[in-house]
Amino acid sequence: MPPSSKVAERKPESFLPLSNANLHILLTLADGERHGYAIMQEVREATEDAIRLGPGTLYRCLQALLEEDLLEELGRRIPAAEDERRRYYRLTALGRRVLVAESKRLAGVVALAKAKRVLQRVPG
Amino acid sequence: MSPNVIATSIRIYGLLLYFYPKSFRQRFGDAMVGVFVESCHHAERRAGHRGLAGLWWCVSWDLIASAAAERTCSLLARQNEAVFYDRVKAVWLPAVLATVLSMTAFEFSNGFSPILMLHGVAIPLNWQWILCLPVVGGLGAYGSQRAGGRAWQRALAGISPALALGCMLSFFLLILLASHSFAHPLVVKFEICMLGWGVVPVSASLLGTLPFLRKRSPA
Repeated sequence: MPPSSKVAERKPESFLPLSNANLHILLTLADGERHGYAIMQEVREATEDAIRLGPGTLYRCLQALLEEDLLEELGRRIPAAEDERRRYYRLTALGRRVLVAESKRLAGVVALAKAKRVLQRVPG
Repeated sequence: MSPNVIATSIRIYGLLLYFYPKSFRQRFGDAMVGVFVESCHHAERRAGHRGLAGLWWCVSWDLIASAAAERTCSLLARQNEAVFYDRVKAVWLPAVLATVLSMTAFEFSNGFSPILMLHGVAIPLNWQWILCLPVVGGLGAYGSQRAGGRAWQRALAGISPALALGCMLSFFLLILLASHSFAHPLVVKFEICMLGWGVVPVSASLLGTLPFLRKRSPA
C-alpha cells in the first residue's frame, strides 16, 4: 500500500507534536526544495548550532517524513558541476498543513508564556 | 591539506554505512555519502585538519546513535511479521543457551581462582567483562533472528557469541596462568563475580528477548 493512501485521511493535528529535528526540516523546506546537505546546513544556522543533524539522523528523519507523506522526493536533476548523489526534497500539501498546525501550536504556547509573564522572569 | 585525507575519510565513511540495515543503506547510503563529502570539504575549508577531526567526532556519534536506532526499528518490524511461537522458539532457546554458556564461562574462570590464589594471582575480572554479558545475550538473540533457516542453525547463531566469550576467557586465563603478571584486589573480584552470576545473566536474557515478547498487533 502506498504511504499516501494510508495517511491521506489523517488530520494534520494527529502528527503533532513534531520532534525538534522534524520541525526544523519542515521549516527549512517551507521556502522551497532543498537537498540533504542544504537542509543540514540551514537547520544548523537557523538554530545557531543548537541542532546539528548528522547524515544518519538527517536521513532517518527524512525517511520518517517521506513515509508519513509529509515530504516528497523530486526526480534527480543533475546540473553541471553538481554532485549527482544530491537528492532534492519538498513539502507535500499535507506536510505544509502539518507545519502550519505545529507553528500555531507553538505560537499558542509562546502566547501563554507571555500572558503568564514567564519570559520576563528569566534572569539575564 | 592532502586530498588523500578526505578521500580516505570518504572511503571509511562508506564502509561504516554497513552498520545500517541493508534496506536503509540501499535507499539513502549514496545520498549520505554525498552529504558527508560536502561536509568534509566545508570542514576542511573552515578549519583544516581540526575541522575534519571535529566533523568525524560529530559523525561518529551520529552514526552510532542512528544506526542503533535504525537497526532496532528494523528488527522490531521483522518481529511484527513473525508468528509468536516461532519467535519464542527462535529467540528464547538461543538466548537462554547463550546466557547459560556465558555463566559457564564465568564459572570456568572462577574454577581457576583457587589455583591462581595459591600462586598469589587474582583474576582481573572487571566491569568490561560484566558488561559483555548483556551484549552476549543480545547478540545471541539478534543472531538467531538473522540466521533464519532451521532451528539448529538459529540455535547455533544464538549461542555463538557466548562460545566466543568462553573462548576469549579461556584464552585470557591460560595467558594469566602462564604469566602470573596480573594483580587485582580479591574482594572486588568476588563482588563482581557474584553480580555477574546473579543479576547480569538474567539481564542478558531479558535484554535479548524482551523486544520480542510484545504481542503481535492484529493485522
